[in-house]
Amino acid sequence: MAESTHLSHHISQNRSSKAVFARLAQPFIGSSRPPSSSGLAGGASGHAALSAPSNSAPTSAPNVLSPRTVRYTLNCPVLALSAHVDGEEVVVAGREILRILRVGYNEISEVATLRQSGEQRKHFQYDVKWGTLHQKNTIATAGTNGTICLYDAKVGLLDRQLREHGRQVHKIAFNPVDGRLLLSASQDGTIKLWDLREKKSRLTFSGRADAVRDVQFNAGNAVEFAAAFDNGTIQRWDYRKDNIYERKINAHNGPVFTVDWHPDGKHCASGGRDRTVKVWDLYSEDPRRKAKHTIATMCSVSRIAWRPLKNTTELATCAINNDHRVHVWDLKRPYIPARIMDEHLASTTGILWKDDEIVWSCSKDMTFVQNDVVFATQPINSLTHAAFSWGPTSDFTFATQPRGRVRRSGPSTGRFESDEDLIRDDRRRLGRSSSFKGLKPALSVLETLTDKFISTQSAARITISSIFDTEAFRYLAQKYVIDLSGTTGGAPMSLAQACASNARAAMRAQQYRTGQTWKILQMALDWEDKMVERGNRAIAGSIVSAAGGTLVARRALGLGTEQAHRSGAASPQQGLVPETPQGAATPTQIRAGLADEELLPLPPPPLTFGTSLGSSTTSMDGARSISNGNSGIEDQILGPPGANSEVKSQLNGNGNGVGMGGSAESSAEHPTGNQIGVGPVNVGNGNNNGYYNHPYQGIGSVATVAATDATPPGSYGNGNGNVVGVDVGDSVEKRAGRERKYSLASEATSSSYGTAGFGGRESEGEDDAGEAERRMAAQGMEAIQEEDPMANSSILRQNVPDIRTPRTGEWHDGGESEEEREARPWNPQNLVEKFTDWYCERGDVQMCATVVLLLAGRVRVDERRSDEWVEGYIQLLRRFKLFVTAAEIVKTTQIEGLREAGGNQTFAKVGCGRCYKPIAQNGSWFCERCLQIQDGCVICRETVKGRWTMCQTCSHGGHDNCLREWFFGEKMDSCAAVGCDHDCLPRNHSDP
Amino acid sequence: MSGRSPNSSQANYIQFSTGHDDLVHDVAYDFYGRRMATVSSDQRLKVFDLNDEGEWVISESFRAHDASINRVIWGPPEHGQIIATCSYDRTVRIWEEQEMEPKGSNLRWKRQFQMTSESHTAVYDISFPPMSACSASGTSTGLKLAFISTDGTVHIYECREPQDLTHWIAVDVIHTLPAALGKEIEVSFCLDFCPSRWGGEQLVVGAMDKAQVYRHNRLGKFRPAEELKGHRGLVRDVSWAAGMGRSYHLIATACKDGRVRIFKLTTGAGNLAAPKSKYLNSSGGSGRRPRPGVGAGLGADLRGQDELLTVVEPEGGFGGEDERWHVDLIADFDDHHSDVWRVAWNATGTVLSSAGDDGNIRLWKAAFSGEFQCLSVIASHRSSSRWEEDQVTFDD
Repeated sequence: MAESTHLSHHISQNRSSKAVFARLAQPFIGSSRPPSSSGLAGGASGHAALSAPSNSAPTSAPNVLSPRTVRYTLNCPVLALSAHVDGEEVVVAGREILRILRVGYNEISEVATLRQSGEQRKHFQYDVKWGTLHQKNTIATAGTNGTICLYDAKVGLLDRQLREHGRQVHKIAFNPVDGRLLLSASQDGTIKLWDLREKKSRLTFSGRADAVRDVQFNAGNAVEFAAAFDNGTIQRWDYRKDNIYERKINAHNGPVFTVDWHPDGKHCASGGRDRTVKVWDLYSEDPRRKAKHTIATMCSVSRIAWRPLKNTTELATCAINNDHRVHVWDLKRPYIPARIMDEHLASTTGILWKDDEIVWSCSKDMTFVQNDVVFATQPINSLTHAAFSWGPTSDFTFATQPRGRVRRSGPSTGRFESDEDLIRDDRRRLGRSSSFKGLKPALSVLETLTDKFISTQSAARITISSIFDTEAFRYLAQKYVIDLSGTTGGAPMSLAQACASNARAAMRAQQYRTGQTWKILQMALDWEDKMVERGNRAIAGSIVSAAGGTLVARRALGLGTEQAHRSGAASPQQGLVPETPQGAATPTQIRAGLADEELLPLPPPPLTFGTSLGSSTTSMDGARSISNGNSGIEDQILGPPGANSEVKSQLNGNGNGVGMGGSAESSAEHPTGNQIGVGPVNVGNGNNNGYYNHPYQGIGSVATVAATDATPPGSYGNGNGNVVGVDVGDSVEKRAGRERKYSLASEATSSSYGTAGFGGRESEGEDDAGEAERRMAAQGMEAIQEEDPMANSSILRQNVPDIRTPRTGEWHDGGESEEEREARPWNPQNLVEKFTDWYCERGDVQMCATVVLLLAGRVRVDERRSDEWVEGYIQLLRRFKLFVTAAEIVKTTQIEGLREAGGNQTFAKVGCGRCYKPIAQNGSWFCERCLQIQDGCVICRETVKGRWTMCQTCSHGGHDNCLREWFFGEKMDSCAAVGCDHDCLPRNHSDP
Repeated sequence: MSGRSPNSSQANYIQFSTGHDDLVHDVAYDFYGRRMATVSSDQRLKVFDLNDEGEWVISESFRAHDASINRVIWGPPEHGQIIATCSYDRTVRIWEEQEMEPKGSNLRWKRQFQMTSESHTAVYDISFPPMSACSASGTSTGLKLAFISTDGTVHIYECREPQDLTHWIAVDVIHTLPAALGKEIEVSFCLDFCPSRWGGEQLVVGAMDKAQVYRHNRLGKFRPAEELKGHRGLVRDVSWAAGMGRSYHLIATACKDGRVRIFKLTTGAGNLAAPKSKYLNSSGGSGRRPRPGVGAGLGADLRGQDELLTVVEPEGGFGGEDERWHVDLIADFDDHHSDVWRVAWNATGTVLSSAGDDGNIRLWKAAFSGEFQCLSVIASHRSSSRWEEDQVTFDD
């Protein structure tokens, strides 16, 4: 024990040197302490356990770097404790126990058990105090029955009892100067001063303020004491004057549970049920009686103990319930506890500073714990010094401050990274306290508290425009065209026009890059559209040329295009339809059938026409078509197979064409078509690039007759036929893998479909195509051709693919044309993907969402992503309170979820007119809170159970009919409500 | 976003005083960016309004808790002016503005509900899931809130009728720690909901030195998913970036080991683009979806490679049981040279801010290469805040 005593003494002298010393001394001490010394603790060693953070082994060997936290478990809840003046022993009291413990550096042992009288046993020992000077061997306890028992600690026996209080004695206190004087505070509202040499109490003080919860002598002026009362007051008394208090302060709301004199003898801390600790100057002449300091804690304060340092600003508190921890507060920083010791599992009932670093505490969890403050948790370490938040966009607000002590932290999650921290911590504290020495002793530190914590957090709001250009966003949100049809205001326009418009807007907002993007998009769309057109022409031209056999492609272009166009646009339905039946039998017809299905959903002829053309045509118009024509011719010459196939196809085409021209011809041709039909497929496989060319030529050569026949009716008709044929071939080739059997039909379908979707902005697009394909497959060659016109139109569409195919080598059907298109970096699909990726990466949802909204029908965008863009955009718009634009988008968008939400989640909340609480069921007229029906109609007083009409100015209203009658029937001018003179319906403005 | 002029990274910097008596621990903008709430150790909650000059003007200040307030967040705007706070006093409190009460009166913000962590432990963090995620999970208009307390337990409460904020019920509990912690140990907990509604509710939780993603299973309960590995100290903060249609997720963490880390979550199979993810949730009705057996015929080919997963974890992730995310650590900065305490993404998930014990706030942004770089440093020298232009120039 000597070693440890010496050590602890040393520690109390100089903490920082302690750490150093301790590290050196540790092995020395450890070895010097005989193993049996822990045995000295006897049974207690079993209870004593080091609750060390992480690395300290639960041995009794001293380890200075681990907390000196020692726990001793008793067999009964402990309600109070008191230390011997020498500081080595403590008496703990509970209902059934009254024991003296010896607390060593690292272990706790039981010294004696005081025998309690039988009667006393029945009552809780609410307080225990060890006598001070002159009475070092006296232990006094206060019980719930109002009896004060005096024990002789040496003998361990009850000495005598003081029975004067009628009710429970809450607290007792020995006079620090004269231990023979004892104060007792009782529930009966009195404080009694006992001189232990006398039989009876010497004085009785009545605070006239309800029960007395606590009483404590002023160590600085031992004739005075402070008392805490249930009614929230604290009083300073001088026991030489027993009739009236010296000072009374209304300190708390609710009972005051505890008072503790500051070592300066001038100030007193009080704590109570109102969860605050307040520090008072009990000698202040200031009539306002304001607390010098206030600490707001979480729970009712049951005990307060100032840290025994000169000019201390720290105090320890514990709570009655809910919080089992012991807090150490520093008045310099009243909001954040300096230390927290969380050692108990139930309410802490007593706290006591053994010295300025060790806190003894006892608890209802039947334990007595020695806590080392230096090792206690510092809450500030787990509180951030920086805070910030992002506004909707470029706004950023922060408050930050460097932490006082910047630590380089390691992987450890322990409370301390290293002992350097400890040392520094101590130095800091010592440095602080040493600065107090400069103060005049008379002036309490509590008066000045010069180094009170002041938050130096600097707070600011920053707008980082480079991250998000708010102005531009607002501007563009309002200017961007998101809807072509003009339903959201503005004139209907084409896609390219919309892009151009958006480009202008972006430029004006100085978003040059975005503007360029829109321009590029516009150009891409324009180009595509043009290609479609050219494609038509080319086809037509080629057809013509084919028909002519020798015609130059160019010429054909010029002539053919328009013809084709016109025929395509006008004729398909009118001219072709009637003739269809005949063509049905042939392979062409299969296509026709396909086409039918596809066509049905398509928009009116002109639109489909244009679109299909556009989509398919990727190539440069003139040159391509020409080349096609030429090559076609060559191909003819070169490859008979191809020629055949084409012939076949052409035949089909012819058939169609014939159909247009005359039924007889078509019928005649059909047979041929059928015959050839088989062939084309094979051929098709063989030929790749040449194909498209071939058809034309084929017409010229092989199918000449048919072609010729067909030609007369309409050049365009031929063209169609050709195209179809080509498609078939291609489809056979390419699709062979996927769907060989019905390749023709399906292919045709898909191709035509795709084009149609393109041009017509048909949203169904692929699904439908898929269906169509499937159906076609099922039907196979026997496809029913009910509507020739459709077939024709489909053919027309298919023409487009043909034109493209030349380049890529793959052509004709939707899938292929897509591939082809995708090969072009400038095709809208590719552009949109690139653009959205790029802008998305940069968080510009506005751009992404607008592009997606505009081009949704034209390009494919991943649904999930487009959904997020649009939703994110709407969110942003709402954040900017651009609700109109947001609503327009909800209206325009094709994303069902958003549309649904727009429909379902738009609601108005209704509040009760009396209690202002929302009415739970929207549309209800009954407030469940006031249990009353809402005010009814202002005229008939009936509840309005439907539409409520009101004046927006005076907000009086009611039934539609009542108001109508009032204003128009009775020609009243002013409001119907009594006392409301508002002119709801000014006659001069609007007269019915 | 293109800047408008060369000096585009100039920042408009307006200092203000929070008037708090102790450290401000959290700041939160409301949805519209016109109001802001601050909380502090001084137990007060303050609400500021933005005036026309762009300055914050205090609107309300009241004592909201009995201990340091850790976090403040604004509720979804759909339900009015709601603030949630959490504190060391072991409670989460829901505050609602009372429009009819006079401004400046203490009655303006009314405490509508208080959640107490069951084990009497401090509450470290709170988060509202995005509204749309709530509605997508079938629970429709319910307002949810998740909080995590010192025992590592995440509680999720729901207010079924957000018109009346006084009734909340606990709907889910996640135990993030395998065992109870010693009382002496310094702890750190944080959580954040995924701001995207795709894939149902997703939550990233930082518990001690681990960060883990949690995802809803079919029954609408959270189950652990990917772990964000590599932390060598307490995870102080997590922030899940708004997706905004990107094909991946970004999660940033602040760590006591002095690092700011950014994790990138990508789907292994590229499922993001698959159309089948279309509104899975809304069709699920209260989060229940048909058992896999029902659609066996159709789903047979879909399963294939994911079958293993499905078998192993029959109640896999909600709305994407076959979504296994691949986690990449794409950034790991130690520029703070001290504990990092906070990270937050901006609204579009493109700029990350981080703050550490050095008192500096750093902004991080992806360069063209996709690599995150320091955009600027906001130093906290009092009254002499400075801006540093860094190597990263803005897009233009």
